[in-house]
Amino acid sequence: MNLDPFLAASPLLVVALGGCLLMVAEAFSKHGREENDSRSAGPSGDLALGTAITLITGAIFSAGIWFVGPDKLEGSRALEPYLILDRFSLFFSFVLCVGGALSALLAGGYLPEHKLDRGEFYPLLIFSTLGAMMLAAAGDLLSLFLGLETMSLGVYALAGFRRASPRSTEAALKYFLLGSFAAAILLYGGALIYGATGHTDLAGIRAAITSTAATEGAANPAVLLIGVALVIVGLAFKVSAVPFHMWTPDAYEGAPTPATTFMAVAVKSAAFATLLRVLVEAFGDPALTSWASGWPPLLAFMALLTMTVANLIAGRQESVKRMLAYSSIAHAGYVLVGLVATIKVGGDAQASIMFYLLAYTASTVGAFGALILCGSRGAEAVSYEDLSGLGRRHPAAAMAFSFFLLSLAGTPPTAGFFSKFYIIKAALGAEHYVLVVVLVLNSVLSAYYYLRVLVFMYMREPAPGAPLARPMRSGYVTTALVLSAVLVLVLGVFPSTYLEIVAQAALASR
Amino acid sequence: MILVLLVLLPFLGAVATALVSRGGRDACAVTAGVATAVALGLLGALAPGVVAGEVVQASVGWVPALGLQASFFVDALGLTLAGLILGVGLLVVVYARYYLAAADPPGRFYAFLLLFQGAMLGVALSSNVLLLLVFWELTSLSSFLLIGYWRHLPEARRGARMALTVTGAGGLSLLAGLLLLGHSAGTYELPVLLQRREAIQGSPLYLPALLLILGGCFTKSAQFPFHFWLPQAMAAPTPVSAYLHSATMVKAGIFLLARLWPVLAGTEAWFLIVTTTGLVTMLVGAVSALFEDDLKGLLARSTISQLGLLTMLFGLGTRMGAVVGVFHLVNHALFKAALFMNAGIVDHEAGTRDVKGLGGLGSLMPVAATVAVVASAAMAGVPPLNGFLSKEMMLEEAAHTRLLGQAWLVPVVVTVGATLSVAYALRYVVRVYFGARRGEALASGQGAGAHHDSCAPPEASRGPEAGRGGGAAAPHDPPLGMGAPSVLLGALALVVGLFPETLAGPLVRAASAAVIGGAPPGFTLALWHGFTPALGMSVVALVGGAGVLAVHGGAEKVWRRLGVPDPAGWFEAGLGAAVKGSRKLTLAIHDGSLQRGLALLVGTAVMVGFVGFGGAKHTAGERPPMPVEMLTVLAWVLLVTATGAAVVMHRRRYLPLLFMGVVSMIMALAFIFLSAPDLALTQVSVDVVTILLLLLALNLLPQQSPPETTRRRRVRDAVLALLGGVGMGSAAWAVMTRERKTLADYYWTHAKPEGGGTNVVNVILVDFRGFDTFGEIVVLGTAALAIFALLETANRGEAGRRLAQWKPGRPLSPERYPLILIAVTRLLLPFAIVTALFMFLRGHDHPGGGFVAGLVVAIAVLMQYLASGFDWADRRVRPDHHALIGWGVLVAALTGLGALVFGRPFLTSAFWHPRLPFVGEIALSTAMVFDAGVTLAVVGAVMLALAQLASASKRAKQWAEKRERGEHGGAP
Repeated sequence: MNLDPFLAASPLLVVALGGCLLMVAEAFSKHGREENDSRSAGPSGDLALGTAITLITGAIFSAGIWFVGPDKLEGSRALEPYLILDRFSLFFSFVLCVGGALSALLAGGYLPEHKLDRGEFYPLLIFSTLGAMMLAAAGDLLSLFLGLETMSLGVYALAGFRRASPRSTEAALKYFLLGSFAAAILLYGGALIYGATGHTDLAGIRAAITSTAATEGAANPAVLLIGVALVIVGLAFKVSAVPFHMWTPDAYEGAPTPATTFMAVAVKSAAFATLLRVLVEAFGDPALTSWASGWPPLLAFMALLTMTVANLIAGRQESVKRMLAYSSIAHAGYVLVGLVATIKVGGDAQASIMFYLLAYTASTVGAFGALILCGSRGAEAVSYEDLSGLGRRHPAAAMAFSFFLLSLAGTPPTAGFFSKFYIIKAALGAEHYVLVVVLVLNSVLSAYYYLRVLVFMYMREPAPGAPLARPMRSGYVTTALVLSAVLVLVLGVFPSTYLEIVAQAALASR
Repeated sequence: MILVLLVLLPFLGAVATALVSRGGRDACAVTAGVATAVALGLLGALAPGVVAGEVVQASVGWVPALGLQASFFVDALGLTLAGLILGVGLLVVVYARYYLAAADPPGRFYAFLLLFQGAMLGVALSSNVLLLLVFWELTSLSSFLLIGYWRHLPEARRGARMALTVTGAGGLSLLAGLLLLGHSAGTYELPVLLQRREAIQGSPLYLPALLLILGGCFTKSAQFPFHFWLPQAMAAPTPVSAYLHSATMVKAGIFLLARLWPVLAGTEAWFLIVTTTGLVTMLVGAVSALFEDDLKGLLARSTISQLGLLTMLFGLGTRMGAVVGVFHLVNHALFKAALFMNAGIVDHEAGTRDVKGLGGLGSLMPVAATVAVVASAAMAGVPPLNGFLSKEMMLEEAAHTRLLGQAWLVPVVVTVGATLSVAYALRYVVRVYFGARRGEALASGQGAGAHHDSCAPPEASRGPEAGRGGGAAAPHDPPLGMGAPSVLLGALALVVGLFPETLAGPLVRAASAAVIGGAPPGFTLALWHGFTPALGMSVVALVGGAGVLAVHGGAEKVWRRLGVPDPAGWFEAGLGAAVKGSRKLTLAIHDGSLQRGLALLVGTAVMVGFVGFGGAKHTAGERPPMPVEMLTVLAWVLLVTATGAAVVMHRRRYLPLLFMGVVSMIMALAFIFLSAPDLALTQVSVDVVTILLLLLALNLLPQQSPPETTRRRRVRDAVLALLGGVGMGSAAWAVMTRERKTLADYYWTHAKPEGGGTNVVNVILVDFRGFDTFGEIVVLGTAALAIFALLETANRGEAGRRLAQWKPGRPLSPERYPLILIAVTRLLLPFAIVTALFMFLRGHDHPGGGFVAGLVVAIAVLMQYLASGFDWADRRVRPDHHALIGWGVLVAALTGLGALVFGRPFLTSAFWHPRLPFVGEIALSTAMVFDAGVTLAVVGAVMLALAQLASASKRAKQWAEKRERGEHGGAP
């Protein structure tokens, strides 16, 4: 009996199995929860731990198979073209599992504190992660759509998890409706591409495009171009690139912070992974990558718009969480710059994107986690004012927050610095100077609002009589913060090892 | 390795200082002092070799993958700056020990100071451009911490923020510039990069790189028009100003100009930009220094002027200019640090820094006065001090420089600048130490405050002497430790002036050789060069300076009346405007409106589609369309009418539902017409389930939705919808009129032999693309879970409360559960189940299959709920819906994995065709088990949604009953 296929798919299987088990566990822990507006302990603690363990196991399996080498496993291609289990997928499985696990740990602290302690949070989180992993591995437009929906449906529910808050519910509904439209647009695009090429698998699409281009000259049927554009639009919605970002601030703000973290980290990474794979493997033909009639100008334009608009708006937010939402949009813009660079410098640019997403995952989890730590129920830290004087009242939380914000701002010696640097280097290599200059200028802009948090924490005293945000204490949150801090620091100080890894993970551009 | 240790020492010292901070000022100062002194010693050990022309290098692997390593090198230029950093640093450490008040936390101060020191050393000694950049940013950051050291002073926070914003922004500009530079040179290692002059200056990137790099240098070194942050930074404690704002940080920009001189200088662009900026800065700084009343502000503005002079020197691009630049860099550090410390002492003793409130301190503080006289004289360029030497050489160099084709321009401007610098230097000494004592004026409360600029608060407000009661005691010379550093610096200024060739000659020669990257021109440092034009200009400057001070009173009145523009204010205003602009942008783009968001999404998609359409070949294909029949026309008309009606009547919620039903029925018919009975079957059953569930949900909502759209929005939406529809329609037309290969043939030929079924659709679903189907049921399960989670909302919280107020919108039928309906549904149930079974079994060969079977079962059960009510039905339905979904997914997954066990790809099916009595031959395959999983999942998902909806209404009913009881029975 050949177990290799199982091994190759084991990260997915482990997560799926863990999710099922957790659902059973959640069902059993339901007792006496019906009337639980009293202060019962709730199931969160154990479930959070279980979720984190499941996802970390998924990450460990990903890493393990990475070291074995997926190409050494005989059956690793058994699921192609639906799922492609290569190093690229494994890398993203790892990132997504880590992001999901850290979010689960944050939830373990946050949900009980804010009386949102309901078990379904965790299965939703796990299945969304599973969807994200499928998305990152999808090698066919259909499985791509399935992964996308598996991921998104869970996230819609997570976004609306704060049921008592009308704002949260409204944001979730808007997110759902906009997301459905985006998914429909993606499907349209896929249908047109199928119509134009007769294939739904990425490799087949690529081959069809190449042969068409060879027989008919460089001209592409308009149908194909429209299809490509629509697919990109659908995915751009998920990475919340401007102008498809309108859902982001509301949904991020309305969702419970751990769910926000998950959206910012996993949803975005998975969408970028699939965007990368689709662009490289399906639309990577020279006929589609020219500036005259191809997708690069679309992406470049989106990158410029995303960086600039997001940073300008982020500067004026009064809510820190909203600021972080816009900041995550801005980071999508930076990654888009890397995507544009993939046309010319291929592997380097891909590696830079992957490194960026890893670093971004760690920093973002940290920043949101620190924000969670800074406030407890009844006195949640929301605005900048709430953070006044935190440096004195809770030096550890303030320091953690500062650290992650500095990483997001791209200050050495954190991961953020190297990731940004790497993207810039790739873009320079591809000679996209305008993009580089705009990226750097935007980093300047972003420093303003990140440092503003530091100014408030360390240099302001709370207004007399103002309600003070009381930092909460939670082992889960602290663990998540420590893990991400280690990751941020290690990536920042010893990036070489990880750079080698992402270089190996890059898709071979054919 | 000594080099690496040297750079690390301050950082280690910073940690150590922070650790001993409980030990008080002495412990901190000693720790910091020892770290600095050891570093200085190490540097001293390297010095002889370096001055002799040796270059010491060291490197540690950092990020080899990116071609990055932490490499350091020290040549004479680096040595000069490093020497200043550590030498002045040591003196500042001593000085600060006495300057800081007991209440100021010493650990933080010294830790920040050493952090800054380390960053600055890194800038001086980094061999890798990017490493240099890292340290460069660190200096900005640590200076931010130091300037804002007195956190309680709003001016300190403002000054710190402004300094950080300006220099930080400059640093990023530098980052971009250096990246471009490294890109065009092909290396990021300075020693190599500096050899590639031709490659860099020949590159088209030269000009952008130059501009960006200059942006970094000019912000750091406070050059016009970025100079405004330096006076604002005077809110820092005086030791910080003495260190950062005279000797080191502001020199970083100049240092980088010198460092990159070999590759950047010598072009027209460099000469014009750098020289002009330097000259303008020199004048702007000097003039504003004349009218600045705050002692430290005066020194800051004079520093700006002197930095302008240095910039100008390097901008000339001549080798002699570089020599003078290096020499003056050192000289300025010596006398300006002495002056800053002196200003701190005056503040410390007299309790104010306001020039107008001071005077006649010379007799009370003879030592301080002597230092001030010597250092000011050096600043003014009076022989025989070091400042005279370098200024003389500068004038000589300027005397034969043509700018903009004018031979007179540079000499005149430089002479004016020199004159002004004499005037402000004189002003400092004369107004503070000579003349009448005006300390009393301060005591009576007139001096301070009235003449203050916006910047630089008197530290007396909570200065180091807060505990001592301000100016109660008469000012006197400071304690030894506080006085000695400035005495030492003043003495150095004098001795270098007297014996320049012996003391400074070798270093200046070596350092300028390092700047130039070749042999320096022959020169001797001496006081007397004979009667040269420079000497004449010096004399003019000295006499003129005294003259300017004489008419200062009148000039000041004119100055105040002129109302000089305040760049710092502009900066703040600019920041404010940016904030305001971004607010406007936010409101314009993101007002939280769903409709706007959707319009943007769809609009962009349409636009992108049309752009793609326009950029390519777009003709319809040649495939002839199918003949149009009467029946299809009728269907089209129905379809369009129903769709349009649904849109128009969308506010009345039940009607659109009916129209949607019409739409989907026509779709089903179309499927049948196009020979896809499977799809039709699925379409119909899905539609039934959806409409039933929607009806249940709508029951809980108001009958009508309020009108919310405006006419403009409706028009916009209509246009968008038409554009999108037409666009998609034409794209679809283009696809379908094209002859093309489809996948259909493949499936036709392979369905029976490989999938064991003749119903191709079903075989595709459960076999060929079974993986997708598997994914789909996972999606379905997740969707059910999401519905569960979201509908729970309706039962709790805000929405739950509103639901509690719910009343049926119109009269209900008196017969809640009509008997006929009940009877019919009961009768239908077994039939439905048999039908489902039938559909399921024949699925592989004929229309049907697990999905449809699941839906049929679900419909049958749904009907029971509708007819008999939730409670009745729920008691009779055993399985848990969650479990149903879970089992479904699990069964499907296990079947799929089963194939893997036998070494076949995921979901490969095994099949055989037994004959059953009465039914005939049926196709049994493992795919059928898979199909069963699908069925279970579908039933579970539908039932879960139903249960949630029903429980919402049940809860509402309970609430209503409770309310009624409450109304009748009084409050419990």
